[in-house]
Amino acid sequence: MSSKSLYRRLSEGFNQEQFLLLVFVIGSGAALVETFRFNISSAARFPRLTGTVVFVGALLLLFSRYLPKTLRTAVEESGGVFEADEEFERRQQEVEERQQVEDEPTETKLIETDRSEISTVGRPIHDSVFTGLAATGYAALGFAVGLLWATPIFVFAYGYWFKLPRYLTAVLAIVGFMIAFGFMSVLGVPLDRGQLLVTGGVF
Amino acid sequence: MTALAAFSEAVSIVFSWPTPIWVVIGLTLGMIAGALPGIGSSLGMAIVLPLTLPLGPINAIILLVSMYSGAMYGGSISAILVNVPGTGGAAATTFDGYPMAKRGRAVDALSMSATASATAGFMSVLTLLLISPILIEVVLLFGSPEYFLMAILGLSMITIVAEGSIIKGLIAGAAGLLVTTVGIAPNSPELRYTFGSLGLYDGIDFIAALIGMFALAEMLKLAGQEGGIADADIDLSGNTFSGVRETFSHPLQVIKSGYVGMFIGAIPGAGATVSNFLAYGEAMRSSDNPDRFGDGEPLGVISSEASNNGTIGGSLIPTISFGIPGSGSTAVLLGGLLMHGLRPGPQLFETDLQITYAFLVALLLGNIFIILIGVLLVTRLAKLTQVDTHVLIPMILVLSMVGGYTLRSNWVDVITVLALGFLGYIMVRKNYSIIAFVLGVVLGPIAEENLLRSLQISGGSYEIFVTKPLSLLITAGIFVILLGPYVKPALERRLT
Repeated sequence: MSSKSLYRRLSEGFNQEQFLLLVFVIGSGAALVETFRFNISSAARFPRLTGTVVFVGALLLLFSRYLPKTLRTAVEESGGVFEADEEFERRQQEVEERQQVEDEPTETKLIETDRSEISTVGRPIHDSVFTGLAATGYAALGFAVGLLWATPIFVFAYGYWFKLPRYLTAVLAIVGFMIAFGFMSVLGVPLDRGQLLVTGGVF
Repeated sequence: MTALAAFSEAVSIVFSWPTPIWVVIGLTLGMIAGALPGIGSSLGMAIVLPLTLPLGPINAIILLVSMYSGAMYGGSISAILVNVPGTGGAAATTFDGYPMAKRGRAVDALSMSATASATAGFMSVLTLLLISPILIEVVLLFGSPEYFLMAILGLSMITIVAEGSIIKGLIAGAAGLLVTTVGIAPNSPELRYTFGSLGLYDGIDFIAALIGMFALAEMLKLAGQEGGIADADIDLSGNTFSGVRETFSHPLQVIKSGYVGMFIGAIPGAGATVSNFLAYGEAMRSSDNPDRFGDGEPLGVISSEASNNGTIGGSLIPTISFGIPGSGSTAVLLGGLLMHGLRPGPQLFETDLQITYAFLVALLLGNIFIILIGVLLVTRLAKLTQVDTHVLIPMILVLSMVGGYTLRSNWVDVITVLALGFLGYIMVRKNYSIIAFVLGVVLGPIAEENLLRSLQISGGSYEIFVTKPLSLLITAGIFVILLGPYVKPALERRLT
C-alpha cells in the first residue's frame, strides 16, 4: 500500500466529530475530577457547573444513537428561531439555481477538481492538514530560534508547498519578516530570541 | 457627570488629533478585511487587537469599532462583484448585487451599498445615543446576580439562534466558560489546572483564544478551498451618483431595514448574518414587484446593506451594557474593551460615560466617511476581491502567531492559538457554534466573579437568583429560551 493510499484510508476513517466529543468528554471529565482536589471549595463551584454541562452534553451526543427515540430527538433538536418563511426560501432557491446555471462552466471545473484530488495543488495530503502542520512547525521553530527567524522559513515552506511563484514567495517572506520586525520594534517583544538557539537575541 | 456634559466631552475627544485618523484607518482596514472573502470583521479585528496595545483605550476602541463598521460595508464589495459575500452579513446582497454587476451596474450597486450602509449605520447609532439615558437607568438596576444571569441568558440565546442542535451550542458555550477557569481563581488564591506551570498562573488569554478561534480556524478552512477568485471577470461600469440618488429615493426602505438590523443586532448571537436575510425577505414581501427580486432589483441591495450596518448600533447595546456581545465582531470588541481596562456595565455608564459616547460619536463620524471612502476607493477596493487566498493565509498566520506571542511574551498564548485554532476548525465543520465558545471565553471571568459575589451576598444560597423581580424575570427568560424549542411542538400538538 502506497503512503498516499494509506493516508487516504486513515483520513477517511477519522471521524472529526467523535474526536471533538472525546476531547470534550476527557477534558471536562479531568477538570471535574480535579475540582475535588481544590483546597478552597468556592473555587470549585464554577468549573464544576460548566464542566458538568460539557461532560453530560458531550456524552449524550457521543452516544445519541443508543438513546431512546424521544431523548435522541431532544438531543438533536435545533433552535431555529430565525427560520425564513417558505416564500423567501423558495425565492432564494430560485435565485441560486439561476446563478448556478449562469456560472456553470466555472462551477463544474471546481467540482471536478474537488472530486479527483484531495489537494487543490496536487499534493498527497489535504491542504488544511498541511496548513495545520506548517503552523505547528512554525510555532515550534519560533520557540527554538525566535519567531522573527522562523517567519521567512515558514513562508518559504508554505509558498513551496502551494506552488506559489518564487518571486511572490520571496516578497511574502520579506513582508512576513517585516511584520514580525514591526511587532518587535513597536511593542518591544523579544521575537529575535529563541529558547534553544539565539537565546541572547540579535537586535 | 451629566449625559450632556459627557457627550460634549466625547465630541471634543473624537475631533482632537489624532483620533479622526484612527477612525479613517479603522474604516479602511475594516473595508479591506470585509472585501477579502474568508477574512471578514471578526478575524480582521482579532488580528489587529494585539497591535492596539500601545494605543490608549479610547483610540484603540475607536479603531476597532471603525473596523467593525467598515467591514460591514466591505463585505458587499465581493458580494456584488464576484458573487462571494465577504462577510455573512452581505450574503443576501449577492442575490441582486451580482445580477446588477452583470448588467453593467456594478458601480451603481456599490454606491447604493455604501449609501445604504452609511445612512442606516448613522441612524442606528444616533438612535442608540438618544436612548442611552434610558439605557443608563436600566443598567444601574443590575447587580451581581443579574449580571451573572445576563451572561447565562446571552449564552442561552446563542444556542437557540445558532444553527444545529441546542446541545451543541450549550457544550460550546460551557466549554468556553470552562477554559477561563485555568489559573488563579477569582476571590481566592486557589491555583486551578496550572499543572505547576508558571505560564498558566494568569490563565488562558482570551485574546489568544479569539485569534485561534477566528484566525487560525478560518485559515485552516480557507486552505482547503480553491486558491481564490483571481480569474473572475470584474466589470466596474455604472454610475456612482445614480446609486446614491436611488438609495435616497427609498428612505422608508432604508429606515425599515436599518431598524430590522438594529433590533436583530441587539439579540445575542443573531447579528448581521440573520438580519440581512430578514430585511431582504421583508423588502420582497412588501414590494409591489416581488418577482424582480433576485434579478438585479436595487431594493434588494439597499435592504440587505442597510440592515447589516443597522446591526452595529443594536449589537452595541448588550455589549456595552451587560458585557454580552451580539456577534463575533462584538466579542472581539468586548475583548478589546477588557484588554484596555474598560469594563462593560455601570462603569461605562457612570465614570466612563464620556468614553462610551466617544465610541458612538466616532461611529457617527465613521458613517460619513464610509460614503466618502466607499465611493472614492471603490475601484481600488475591487482589486482586493482578486487576491489569491494562498497569499493571504501565510500572512494571517504570521500575524496570528506573532500577535499571540506579543500579548504577554508567553508561549502558552501561542499554544492556545494553535490548540483552539484546531478545535475551532473542527467545530466549524461540525456545526458547533464558535460564537458561543468565544462568548464563553470572554464572559467566563465576569460570570464567575458575579456568581461568587452573589453567593457571598446570599450566604451560599442560590435563591438570590429568583428573589428579586428582575433576577426572577431573567431566570424565567433563560428557562423559556432553553426549554421553548422542546415544549413548543408539544403544546402545538396538544392545541391542534
